Amino acid sequence: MDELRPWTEATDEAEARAAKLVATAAAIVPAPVDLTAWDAVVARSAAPRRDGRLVFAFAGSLAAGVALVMALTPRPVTPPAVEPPVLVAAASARWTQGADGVVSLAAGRLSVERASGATVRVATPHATLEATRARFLAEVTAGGTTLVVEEGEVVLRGQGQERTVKAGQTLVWPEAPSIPAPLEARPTAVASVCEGVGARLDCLRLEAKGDGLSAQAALYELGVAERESGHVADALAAWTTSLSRFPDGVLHPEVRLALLVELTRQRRFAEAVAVARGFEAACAADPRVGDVRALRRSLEGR
Amino acid sequence: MRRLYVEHAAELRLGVARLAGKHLDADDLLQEVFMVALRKPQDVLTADSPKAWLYGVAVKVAASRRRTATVRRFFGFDEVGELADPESPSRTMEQRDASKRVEQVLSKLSDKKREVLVLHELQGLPGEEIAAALQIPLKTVWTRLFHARKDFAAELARLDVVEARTSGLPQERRHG
Repeated sequence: MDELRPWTEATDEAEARAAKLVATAAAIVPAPVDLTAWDAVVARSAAPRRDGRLVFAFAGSLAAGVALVMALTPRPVTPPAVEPPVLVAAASARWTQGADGVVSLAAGRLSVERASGATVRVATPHATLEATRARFLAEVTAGGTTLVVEEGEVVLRGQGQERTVKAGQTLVWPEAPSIPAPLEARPTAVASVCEGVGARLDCLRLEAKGDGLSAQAALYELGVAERESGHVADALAAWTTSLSRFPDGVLHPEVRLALLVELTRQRRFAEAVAVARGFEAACAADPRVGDVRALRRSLEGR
Repeated sequence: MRRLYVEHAAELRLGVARLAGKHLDADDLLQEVFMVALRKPQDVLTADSPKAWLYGVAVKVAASRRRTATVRRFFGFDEVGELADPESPSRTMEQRDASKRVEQVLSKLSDKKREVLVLHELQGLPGEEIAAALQIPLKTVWTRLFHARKDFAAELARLDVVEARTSGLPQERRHG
């Protein structure tokens, strides 16, 4: 394209109007410049200069780095506010809490009163309990740890095993060993003068104060009757008395076995082990000694 | 170099203000143009037209500053203080209004068309000097100028229509 004609010669109305407008603006004379500003230009030029490309490169790299980090970093998920669980220990309980938050319950009763999103860990001499969003009660006695779950579920770990106890369930740990059937069999040869008597317990107590075979039989029968009545302590007392009075009596193997079985049921494992050892020593020829030994060994592992 | 400053500073300041827009500091832009010249004295002093060379720098400085200003405005950093007017205070009312209107229309043109229109129609540079300043063939200058004039006229007409509509002027009635 050759040189254009001056715009003011445009024939088109719009262009002519535009040309006139521009010409009017072009006629404006520039404002004079303060010539002393030249010194400022020289001074500014002499100052150390930032290389614009480096600044842009740095800014670009920084932005890219930040973007990369933001893209690769998993966005932190704001955890919902977790209310701490409320733990209530009985006055007699012995417990401590470590820096890791684990509650060590040595004895007594501890309950978690409020289900919380925070994990609760309780260590007892017998097991460890772990629960989230659960209400439960744990009680440590010499016989073991009793766990009663009221809400949610609690995982119990002990002796290499794991149990999940759900709401409404109760678990005593360690679990009592199964008692061999021969040890629970009641002797049929035991006779008593109190059979058929109305106040049988009174009759047996009276007979037990006597001597000889009738007293041995009465003490044994008294223990059985008390146990069947739910008076376990009285039953154990009767059998213990029998053993102390008639350690070599005719019924001492039956009395020992009755004690062993009941102590095991009552989770008084240490006492049960002692009774089992007594049976093994005193009744070595008894055909049930093998079952007693097996039970003792399982008791000793608890 | 000082002689060049004395000869062209006023004209260049107005030119760079027209290129960049009068919302930017023309004094600062002018300083930047001459700072480039001070860093490259051989280039400017040996150029066929030192004036064209300075305009070439002014075009680049203005374009760069316009982009920066756009970014700054986007992030809300655009702070315009009291700026010195590069136009003579002795201008008439008509010239002042025309200048505002021209700037308004120029802001709607592309950079390339804006540059040639400002350099030729407002600053009065001949085609050869514009070609040297922009480092483009002379024919390209005329082509760009041709389209720049068309676009300018069209944009001016469009603005007039928009302003007429929004100013509450009565619309033309049709008579059937």
